[in-house]
Amino acid sequence: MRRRLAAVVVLLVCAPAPYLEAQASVYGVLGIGFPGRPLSVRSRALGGAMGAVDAGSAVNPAAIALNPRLSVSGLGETTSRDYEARDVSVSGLSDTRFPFAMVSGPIQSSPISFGISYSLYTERSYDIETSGTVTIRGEEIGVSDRLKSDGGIADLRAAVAWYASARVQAGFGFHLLSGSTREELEREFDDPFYAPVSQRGDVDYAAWALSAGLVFTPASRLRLGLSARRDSKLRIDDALLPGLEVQLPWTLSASITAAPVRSVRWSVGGEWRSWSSARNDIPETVALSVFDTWELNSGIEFGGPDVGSSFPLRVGFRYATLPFSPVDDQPREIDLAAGSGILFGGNRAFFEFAVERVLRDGGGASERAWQVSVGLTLRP
Amino acid sequence: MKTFRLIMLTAAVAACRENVTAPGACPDFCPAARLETRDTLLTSSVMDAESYSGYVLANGATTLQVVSDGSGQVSRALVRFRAFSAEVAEGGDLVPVEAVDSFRLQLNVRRRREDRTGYELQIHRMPVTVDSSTSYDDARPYFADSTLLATVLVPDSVEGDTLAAADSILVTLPREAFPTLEPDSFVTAIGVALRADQEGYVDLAATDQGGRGASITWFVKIDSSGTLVGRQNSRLPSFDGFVVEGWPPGPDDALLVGGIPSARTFLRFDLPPGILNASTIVRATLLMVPTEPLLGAAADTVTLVAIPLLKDFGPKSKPEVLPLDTLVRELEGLPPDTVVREQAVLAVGTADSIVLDITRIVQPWQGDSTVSQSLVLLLSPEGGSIAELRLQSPTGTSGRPALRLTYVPFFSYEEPLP
Repeated sequence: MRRRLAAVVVLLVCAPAPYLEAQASVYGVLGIGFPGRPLSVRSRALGGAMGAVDAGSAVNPAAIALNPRLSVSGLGETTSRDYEARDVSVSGLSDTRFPFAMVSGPIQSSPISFGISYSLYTERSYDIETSGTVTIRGEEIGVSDRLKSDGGIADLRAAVAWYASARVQAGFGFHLLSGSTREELEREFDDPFYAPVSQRGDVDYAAWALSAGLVFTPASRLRLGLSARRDSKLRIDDALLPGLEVQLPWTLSASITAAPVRSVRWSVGGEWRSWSSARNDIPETVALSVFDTWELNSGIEFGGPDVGSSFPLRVGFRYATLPFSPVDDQPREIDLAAGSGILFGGNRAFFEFAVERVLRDGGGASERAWQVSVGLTLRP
Repeated sequence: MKTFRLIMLTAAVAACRENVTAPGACPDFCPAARLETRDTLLTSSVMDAESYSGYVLANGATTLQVVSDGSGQVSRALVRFRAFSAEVAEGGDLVPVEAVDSFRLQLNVRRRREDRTGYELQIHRMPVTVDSSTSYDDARPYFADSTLLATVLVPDSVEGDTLAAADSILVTLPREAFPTLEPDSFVTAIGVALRADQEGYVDLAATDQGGRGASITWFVKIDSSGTLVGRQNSRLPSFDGFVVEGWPPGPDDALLVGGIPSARTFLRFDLPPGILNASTIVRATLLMVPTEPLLGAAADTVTLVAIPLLKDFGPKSKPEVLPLDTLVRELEGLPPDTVVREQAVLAVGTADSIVLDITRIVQPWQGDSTVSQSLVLLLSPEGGSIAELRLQSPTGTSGRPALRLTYVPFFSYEEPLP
C-alpha cells in the first residue's frame, strides 16, 4: 500500500506537465494569465490564511524549517465553473489541473532544511469559440474562429531554511519561472472557396525570482510568518516577436496563527502584489488595466495531526483582488473554503481535501466556481 | 481503507471530465490575437510563362472529335483496323475464307452537342496508308461521295460524358465496301465526318480510352466438311486519330493551351516572402485574359486544368508529375489520387477573363522551399478536342496573368500584449 501511495505522490510531484491543459478562469484570458496559488490543500481549506507559516506551502521559504521530517506532497484540483461576460453566459465548464507539489525536510540532524516545489505561477489556458463576418473581395463571409491556448508559467522553487531556534526560523528561496503556451487559432469560412486556417505556435516564458522569509513563534500558541519576494521581468518569446519583457510583481505575504485552545487554530493572512508595475511594459494602445492586488484571508482549523487528531476540520474565507481587467473596474474574488483530511498508513500518509466556492466579479464579468482540491502527503 | 479508495475513485472520475470550450465574450474577454484576413492582387507574381506543343497527338487522345462544316474549323476521324486473316481457325485447323458476306462497324459515341439533334455520321472508305502523319488536306479528297460507305444518325439518347452500351452505333457494310481488301492484305480503313444542318461536334471514343474505340467485324463463309458455313471475326484499330484544319495563327507572344497536337503553358510564380513565409493562404485565384475567344467546336466546352509541378524541368516536366494513368483516371471521373488539380469549365467562344482557383496548388508552396512555384495549364480532354486557348503573356503590356491571394498572416498573441 505504501508503495502505491508513494507512486501516486511521485506522479503528482514529477508530472508538472508543460501544458497544463486546463482553464482556471474567464479572467485567465487577460494579461499573462490567471495567477496561481502556491498553497497546500490545508492552506486552501483555510482560505490561504496560514500560507506564510505553512510548511506544506511554498509562500514563505522559512516555513519549511517547521517540517520535522522529510515529506512529499502533491495535489490535484478540479474546477467546475459558470460565468457571464457581457452578453455571453456559459455554464458547465470543468477542468482539472495539478497546481502544486513539494518535497521538503531537514537535512539529517542539522538545523538546515530544504524544499523543492512546483507551483502554478499563472495559467493561460483557454479554448474560445467565436463567430462573425469578414469582408473579403467585396463580400461578407461568415467565419467561425477557435482560439485556444494550453499552458502557463510554472514556478520551480529551491529553498533552504535555518531553524535558528524554536522561536525563529529564516529561509531563502530561488525561483525559476518557466513555461510555455501552445497557441492555436483556427478559422473556418462559410464559403467553401476559402480554405480553413489552422495556425499553431509556442510562446515561451522565462523569469526568475528571489524570496526570503521569517517565521517567528513568540509564544507556544502564536506564530507569525513574513515573506517577501521579488520577481524579475518575464521574458516572453514569441517566434514573431522575440524579446518582449514584462515586469513581474513584488510579493509581500504575512500570516498569523493563534491557538486560543489547543485543538483550535485561527489564522489570518494577507498578501500584496505589485502587478501594476507591468503596466509600463504594455503598449498604451492595449486596452488592459493592470492593478496591484490585495488579499485578506482567515481560517479556523479544528484538530489535525499537529494536536494528535487524525481528522481535522477546516473552514476559511478569502477576499482577493485580481490583477487584470479589460476596463478600469478591478475584478475581485471571494472564496469560501472548507476541508478535512485523514491520516492513515501508520500516520505516514495524509490524505486531504478542500472544497472552495469561488465568487468572482468585476471588469464586466461574473464567475462562479466550485473547486475541489485533493492532496496526498507522505512522510516516509 | 474502503472509504479512502472510494474517495480516490470519485476524485479520479470527476477529474477526468473536461469541458473547457466556451464561446468568447469578445472583445473584452478574448485574447488580443486576431485572425486578420487580407486580400491582395499580385500583378507581377507570374514571373515567367512558356508554352510548348506536342504533348498529346491526335492519335494518342482518348477521344476523336469530329466537327461538322460551319464557321469554325472542320475535323474528321481516321481509323485503320488491324488486318483480318485470310484463314479462320476451325476445329484445330486453319481453313481459308471462301467468301466475305459483309462487315459490321461499331463506333462508340462519347459526347455530342446536346442542344441540337439530327447529326449524321458519314462513313468513308480511306486508303489503308492513313497514319499519324496524315494531314487534313491529305485526307480531304477521300471524303467524297465516291467513298461514302454509309450515313448513320447519331442517337439523340447520347447524353453526358459517359460511355454506356447504348452509345454504340452499329453500321452494317456490304462486302463491296472494301473492294481492295485482298490487295490491301485484308486491312480496312475508314474516315468519319459529321454532317449537320447546324454546327456541332461528336466525340468518338478512341482506342486509347481503355479499348473502347471503334471495331470492325467481318462475316465470312468457310468450307466445313463440304458445306459453306458462316463465321465472324473482329478487329480493333491499329491507328485512330483525327485531322483538323489549322487554326489561324494568333499573336506571337500568346500563351497556348490545348489544340492539336496539344499545347501546355507553364507558369512560374514568385510570391512575396512575407506572404509565403508568414501567413496562411486561404484562397488563390489565377486571373488570365484571353487574346481572343476560345477556339473550338461550336457549343463545345472544355476544362482548363491547372496541375502543380513539384519539380520544374521546363517542358519535360510532364512525365514526372503527370503520370498518364492518373490523368486518364481523373478524366474518367474516377477519384483522384495524389495529383492535385484545379479546373474551370470554359465554353468555346468565350472571351471573358479566366478565373481559376488554384488554392490547393499554392498552399504547398508555403513552408517548403523545395517545392517549385510552378504549374502547368492544359485543356481536358487533352488532345481529344480541337479547342485551343490563347492567353496574354506576362510580357505583354496589358492583360498579364495575375494572382489574387487571400491570406491570414501568422498571429502573434503578444502583440499587442493581451
